[in-house]
Amino acid sequence: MSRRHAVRHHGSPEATPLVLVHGFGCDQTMWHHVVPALARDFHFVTFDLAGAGAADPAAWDAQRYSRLEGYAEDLVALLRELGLRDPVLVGHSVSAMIVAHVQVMAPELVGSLVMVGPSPRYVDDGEYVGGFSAEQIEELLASLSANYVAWSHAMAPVIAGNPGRPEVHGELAEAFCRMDPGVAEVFARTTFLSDARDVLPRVTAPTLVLQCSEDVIAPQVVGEYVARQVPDAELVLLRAAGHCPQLSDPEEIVSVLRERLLPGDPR
Amino acid sequence: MTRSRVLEAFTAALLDDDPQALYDKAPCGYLTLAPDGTVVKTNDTLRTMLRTHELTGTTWQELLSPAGRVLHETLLMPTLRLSGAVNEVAVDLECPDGTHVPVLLNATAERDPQGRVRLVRVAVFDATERRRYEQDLVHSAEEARAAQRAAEDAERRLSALVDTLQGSLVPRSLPAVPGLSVAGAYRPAGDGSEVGGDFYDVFATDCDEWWVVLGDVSGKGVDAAVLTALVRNGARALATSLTEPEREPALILRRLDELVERHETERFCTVSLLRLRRSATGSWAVTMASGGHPPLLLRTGPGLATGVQAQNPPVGMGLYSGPDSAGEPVQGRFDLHAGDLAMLYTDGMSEVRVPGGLLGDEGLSVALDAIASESSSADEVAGRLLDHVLTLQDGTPRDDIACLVLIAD
Repeated sequence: MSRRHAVRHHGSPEATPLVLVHGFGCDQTMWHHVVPALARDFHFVTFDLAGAGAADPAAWDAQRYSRLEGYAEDLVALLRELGLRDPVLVGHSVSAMIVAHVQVMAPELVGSLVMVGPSPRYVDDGEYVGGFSAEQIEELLASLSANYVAWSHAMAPVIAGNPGRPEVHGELAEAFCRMDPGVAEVFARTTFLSDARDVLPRVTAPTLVLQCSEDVIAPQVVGEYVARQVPDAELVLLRAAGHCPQLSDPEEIVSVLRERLLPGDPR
Repeated sequence: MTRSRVLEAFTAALLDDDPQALYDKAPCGYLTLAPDGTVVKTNDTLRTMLRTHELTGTTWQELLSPAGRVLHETLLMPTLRLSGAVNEVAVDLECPDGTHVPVLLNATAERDPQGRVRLVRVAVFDATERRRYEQDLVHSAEEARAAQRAAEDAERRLSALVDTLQGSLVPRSLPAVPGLSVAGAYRPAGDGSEVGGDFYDVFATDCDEWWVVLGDVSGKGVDAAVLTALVRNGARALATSLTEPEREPALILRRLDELVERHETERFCTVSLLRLRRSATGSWAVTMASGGHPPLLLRTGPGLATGVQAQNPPVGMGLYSGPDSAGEPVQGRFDLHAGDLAMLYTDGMSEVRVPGGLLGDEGLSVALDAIASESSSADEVAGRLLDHVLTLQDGTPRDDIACLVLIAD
């Protein structure tokens, strides 16, 4: 499983394990700005979900990954293999729901949860506000697939170690966010059409809900909903704007994780 | 502003080497964003594209359609933050008047010395035509896929139908006949995608009386299959219902001819009918009549088989009665003792090209002798004969092949 998901370990092996789960659209590089600052405080495990980044393309199965449970089962298997002690699962975006599924499926493998920008359902449903109409989601899915088609072609000629690129990020940029258009389409549908509302009340682990400001993907009402539905949850409002606080304001995420997960830390 | 006027203005600015004009009149929209997405600066071209005079103070998020905003958050922004640039992102921009403009955009992020994003520069290209073309392509690809799926489905259904139909004309397994080993071999012409006209049948009319029918309807396909079913079931019904002295192969041939004639088809059928009765000594007394069909090969010991003819006209041509009638149909008779072998086959088995002409009944008889002298069962003889004939045609038969091999115990 470790090889299949391109698992990487960072930080201090003896420290509290944090498993960082990237969301739709990207891969484990998403956590790039968070990990170094906390390398002395935690044992980080990052990996790529099936179909993303450097995950084994042979393991992709459109049927299996048309449900969030498919991804969750992978993570359960991975956690069993890693044998971490009470790990904190940090799920960003759609992966907040994936880690919720994992905790319900295998509570013995999970210490606590951190949900970053969670939404159990993006499409409005009666009283429930998800932030999008069904038509908007369909438009979004069409738009996403149009871009993935374009990108997959634009990014095909990867030149490793291009000396013409002075930026350190150069190589990384070439491979960043590459996804087979067919894979992206399935993951997008799973992400934006799933409904995980029934899972939330069954989550038994302590859960931290990190809500960004001005998040068009997961608005604050949705974060509040999640914090109400999960029995042992605490809502933390971030000043970071947008949907990816680990990129737009890594310092804030770093300090929140440090404060909330290392209560005894003298710093 | 039309595209040509934009170009004209840009060329003029180039000639004058005027940086402000080069920015404002550039043939693509420019905008500069603060890290939080606030629009700081735009050029004329962008404002013209978005049909507005003022954009400063609005936010990038407000300019995107809802789908574009999600795209921005999940793909554009992460890539920009991590790698400093994105290229060829397709989004719809929302003009302040509510209309949408499909665009392609490239963006670069400028960082401060601490590595934080300081500002983002975006170049915007009108992609209305291109988007329409892309959508056409996507539609065409979807249509092509749907058509292919439909064709594959149809083919699968057809193939299942052919298989079912064929199974009703050529039994997949033959009944066990006490005192007689019976084996059949069948192979449709070509890739087997069409129902063939060859058929055979083996059935009992009494505990010691068995009938063997093997025939070939002219032509192929569903029409031919209808006639094949008629002849096969007709033979079965007649052999079962007729009583002595009517219950004889030759007389049944005549009745089959009437049956097919009444069916009003241009097609006809060649067929061999065998009636086998087991005697008290265990040997089989066989009466046989052939309606225009290749001879039965009878091998009663080592050496070449002899052909048993008992030849009458093919059924379905109206030649058994009326002015063209050849008179009373004829039938032959012979006995099968222990170890004797009789074989019926269709012309797909004998009319096979070999160097110097066709294999023919004689060539088949030679092959049968070689194979029968080395084989221990009817199954083995039938199987090896089929292999032999297939090998002569490189594995793909030009015509349907059917044969039945009977060996008395």
